[in-house]
Amino acid sequence: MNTATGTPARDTELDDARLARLLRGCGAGQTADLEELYKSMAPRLLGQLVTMLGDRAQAEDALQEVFIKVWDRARQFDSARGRPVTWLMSVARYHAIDLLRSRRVTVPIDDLQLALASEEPGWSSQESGQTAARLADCLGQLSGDQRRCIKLAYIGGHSQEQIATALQSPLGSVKSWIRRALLSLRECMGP
Amino acid sequence: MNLQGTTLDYVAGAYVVGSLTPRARRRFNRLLQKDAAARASCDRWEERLVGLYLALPSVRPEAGTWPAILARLDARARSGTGQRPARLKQLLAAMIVGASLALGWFYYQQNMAPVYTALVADQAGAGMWDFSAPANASKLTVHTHRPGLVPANQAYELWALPGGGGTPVSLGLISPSGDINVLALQEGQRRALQMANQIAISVEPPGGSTTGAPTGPVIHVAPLQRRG
Repeated sequence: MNTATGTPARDTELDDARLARLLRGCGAGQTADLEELYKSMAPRLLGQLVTMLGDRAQAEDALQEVFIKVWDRARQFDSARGRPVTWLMSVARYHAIDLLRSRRVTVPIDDLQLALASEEPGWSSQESGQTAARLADCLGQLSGDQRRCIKLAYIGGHSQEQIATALQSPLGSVKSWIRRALLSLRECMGP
Repeated sequence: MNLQGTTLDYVAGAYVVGSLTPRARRRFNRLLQKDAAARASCDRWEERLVGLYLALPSVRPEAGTWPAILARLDARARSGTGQRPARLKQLLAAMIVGASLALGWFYYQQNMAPVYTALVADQAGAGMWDFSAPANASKLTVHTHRPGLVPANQAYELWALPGGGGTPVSLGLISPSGDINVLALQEGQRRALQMANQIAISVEPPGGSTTGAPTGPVIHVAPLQRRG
């Protein structure tokens, strides 16, 4: 697993109105807006892709694909359905999952846990805004097993069977941890 | 699949997290096609969980990644494949027309029509700088199309390149800020500009070249147009 070398983007770079304006510009064919979006979001998205894919070179290639998709699909972004940063990270996430499935491999869970280890238990979110802070608080209310399973499933794209094998836990336990984690997160974060 | 309320929201969460069985996932996919409540529930889960990604450390991309993206968009535009490249061409044309009109207005205000003009564009065809000077070449107006084109700790120096491979003559440094700057030209620079058929931009240390010739890489060369 490659180690991260950058620093988190500042909150101003994740400003919803600014990102939405840049996406509208991309939808109108403005390459300058795509470049501005790249400057703001590429380090975040590359960090996400490196973690999911476990390979820096593949993540760099994937980053190109993600920004081509953003350029092509920017007009589909609907601010009524969610924040721009969520939309952008979803584009990256589903592209990474497609790559993992086409390769029929996943990042070894040990590697992924190592990458996520720095987030536990003091999962800092000061640089990531209110959304992350709220989620950090709610994740803190989960048991260690529940939190680990949610991260491995969501960030790593691992199936419940893969998680059960890696954690040497019964499949039923993993299913139960994920189910309880979802119910708890929903209650904690609100409808 | 008939889901409502809390159950719908839980299944949507399992869908977003990826913990549904393949069969349940296919059924939920069909539900998403026709059920706005299901889509809204998934949207909420994406919002709830995006913080997991926001907490990951950022990774600075390689320097070549952005140029590679631009080159791919440029290649698509040139090949004319897809709907967007066509729109891109139309929009670029509209931008050029718009920029020309704006420049025309500006020069009208200055009561000095440009005779010498040059445009430097990036690989995607988007303008970066345009340059213009009146017939007597007493000054060179530099229009910077967007901020951030000149990196910190570097200077971009502008050169007049005479036809026939003569020695480049410095016309001055491009201001890293401001969108319109005017360089006052001395006699030697005026003659060089009037004799030039190209302009070039080189990367120099802060303050510019100390040798009278480009010392860093020449990153842009553009033809110098003469009207009339």
